[in-house]
Amino acid sequence: MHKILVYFEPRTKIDRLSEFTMSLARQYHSQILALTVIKPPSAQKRNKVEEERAWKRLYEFEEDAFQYGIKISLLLEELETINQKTLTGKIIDIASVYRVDLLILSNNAKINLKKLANSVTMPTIIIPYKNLNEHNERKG
Amino acid sequence: MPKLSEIILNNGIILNVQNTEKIAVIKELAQKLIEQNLISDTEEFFSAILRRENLESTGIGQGVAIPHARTSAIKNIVIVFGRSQTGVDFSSLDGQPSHLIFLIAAPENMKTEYIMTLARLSRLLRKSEVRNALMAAQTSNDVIEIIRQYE
Repeated sequence: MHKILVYFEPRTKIDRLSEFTMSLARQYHSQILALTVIKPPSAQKRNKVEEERAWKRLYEFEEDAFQYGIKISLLLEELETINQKTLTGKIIDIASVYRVDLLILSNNAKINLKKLANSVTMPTIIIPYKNLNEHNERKG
Repeated sequence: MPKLSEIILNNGIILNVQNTEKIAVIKELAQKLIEQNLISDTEEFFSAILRRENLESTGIGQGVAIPHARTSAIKNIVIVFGRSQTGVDFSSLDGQPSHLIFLIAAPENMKTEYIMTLARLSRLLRKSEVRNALMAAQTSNDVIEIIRQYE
């Protein structure tokens, strides 16, 4: 398993996603491609803040990977309109262009899981962003 | 948090880097830090920079590379800049050679500032007008002024 594409959103919590991806990359000596997607400058007023947040998240992820000695590349992509359909399409495209062996994302990503499942050509892992015990504790 | 234009060294700008190979270019840039006595342990500094280069593609695409490291060999966060007309292969995912190369060095204990500096610089350099202006800059002061203007 040479390449793992991990997708996350600039604003969401990624602790579990990060932990799982790093652990897998270490085990299989894989390279990680870390992807996040933002709107282009023309599409949003607060682009400066949004884009810096996205880069910050990517570099934090990179820093963690570096501490574990994992090879990593960062990808910041732009989409004119970000919705479930376009975002899902973008992730599928990137996974295909970079010929990744595995796609990992969180179930809090704003994507169309059904479309993703029907379109991806590589194994895909969906990580629950909440620990199951945490979830049950809140319910109970 | 210091501004990018405040931490880029005026004496750390090379408008025409001499080397064409990645590691040689990084060493050429790092030499600017050594000349100004900003590095306490040269061996440790190169080791930190090269360790990262071996694990990451610091080429972020669109002709830009940002080699970087946190190391105990430096006391303050600094940026040095090199421009290559021919371009240097930094293994960017877009396959393009890097013409604008920013070397960021930070102390171990400045993780937040370091990450924010990387984020701010990466954002800035995605703007084509910034990249074009930096490619056309005639002097070190021009480079700093362009950064100041757009940050």
